[in-house]
Order: sequence, then structure tokens, then C-alpha cells
Amino acid sequence: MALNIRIDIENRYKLTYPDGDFRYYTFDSSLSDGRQQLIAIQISEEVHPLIPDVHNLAFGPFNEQNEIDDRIKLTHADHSKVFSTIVFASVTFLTIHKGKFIGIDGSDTRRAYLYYRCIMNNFAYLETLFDIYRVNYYVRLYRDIEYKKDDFIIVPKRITETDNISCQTLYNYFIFREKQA
Amino acid sequence: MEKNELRKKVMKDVDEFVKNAKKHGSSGLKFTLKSGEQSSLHKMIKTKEQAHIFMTLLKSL
Repeated sequence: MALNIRIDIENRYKLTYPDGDFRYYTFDSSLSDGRQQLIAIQISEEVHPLIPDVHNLAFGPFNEQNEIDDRIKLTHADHSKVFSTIVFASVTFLTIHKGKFIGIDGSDTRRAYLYYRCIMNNFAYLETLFDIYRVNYYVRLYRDIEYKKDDFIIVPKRITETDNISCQTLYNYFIFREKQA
Repeated sequence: MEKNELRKKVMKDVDEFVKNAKKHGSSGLKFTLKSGEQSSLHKMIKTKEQAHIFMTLLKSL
């Protein structure tokens, strides 16, 4: 599926009006079985106190308690349109919230690799809108002891158009920033 | 489409959307994650030193 996703803002679903902070959106996606599914996008209010500029993005169908299920697998009729809509919401957020970053995990490895392949297959398009980074987590090794629990080093790097890694060595996290001049 | 043209077109759409949204006022939408899980980045960063190194690197790239 990732090979067939083409990001194009012109081909997006209509977003509902967001909250006042431009963090929460919904749109109706057509599923391959003909049903309509309301999808929510959330760009988190809750931030880590030590990295308040990085906001996590999640999306998926939501229930009566307004909980997004970001682990469910849906078969959309047009995945390109779904992802283009999410990209549009992301650009909107970053335009409003200057200097902030949006991050995305992927709720499992399969999903994260889908996002990575989608980024790489649409890199030329996406890099006109974003600076895109990948993040790896490393354990620090000490001289006298092997390593300490929870002593990680978190290293970001820019993704470039020649980036190419396998699912086994996939990056831990992806970050987007409004394109800098 | 040339890159600058593409960006201008997208930003025009974004500006239009933002203008209309502000005119409409907040929809009051708000969601939580069913899984309730934090991002992996949130779980990894535990000290000021880690956060400082990470953000310094990120902003310098």
C-alpha cells in the first residue's frame, strides 16, 4: 500500500473546523466497502515537560467517548486522500504554532514502516512543506560498567532523499517542522 | 509543478482554511487516545541533559 500513496493537498478530504488551537480535526473517509468512516486527527496538547515544543500526532476512528483508536486497521478507498488530509492538518498546525514540531511514532512497526515508505515515496513533495527528521535511540556504554538502565541518548538527523533503510533498522520516531527558509 | 509554486499553492489553501476556521470559531473538538500511550520519545527522555542534547541537535539541523 505504501508504494501507492501519493500525497497531494489538492486531493484531500474536507476537514471539519478544528478547535480554537488547531489541534483537533475530523474528516469523513470512504472505506473500500462503501461505508463512510469519521476519522479524527489529534496533535497533542500534552507535551513532555522537558521538550515542550514537540507534539505527537495520532489519527484514527473515534468512539462515543471521543477516544481515538490509532491501532485499528481500516481499508480506505483512497489512502492517498487520507494521508494528504493529515498532511494538510499538520501544515495548518505548524503554520499557527511557529517553532513547534510534530512527531509520529506509528503504533506498531508495520505502521511505522508504512509512514517511512510514504515519506520517502513522496519526499520531493513533502520537503517543500516540511523539514523532516528521524530519531534513533541509543544506549550509552560506560567504561567501568556495561550500561545504566534508562540512560539513553536520543539523536535526531535530517532525512534526505537518498535515505533508504530496512524495516529491521527502522528509525524510532519521525519529526516534522515547518519548512525553514 | 515547480517547488516554490507548489508551496505557495498549499499555503494559500492553508491560509484560506485558517481564515475560515477563525471566522467560524472553535468547533470545541477534543479527543484522547484510547490506548492512552505516550509517544516513544516521551518515554525515552527522562533527564534535562537528554532533553537539552536532543533539542539542541534538533534545532541545529
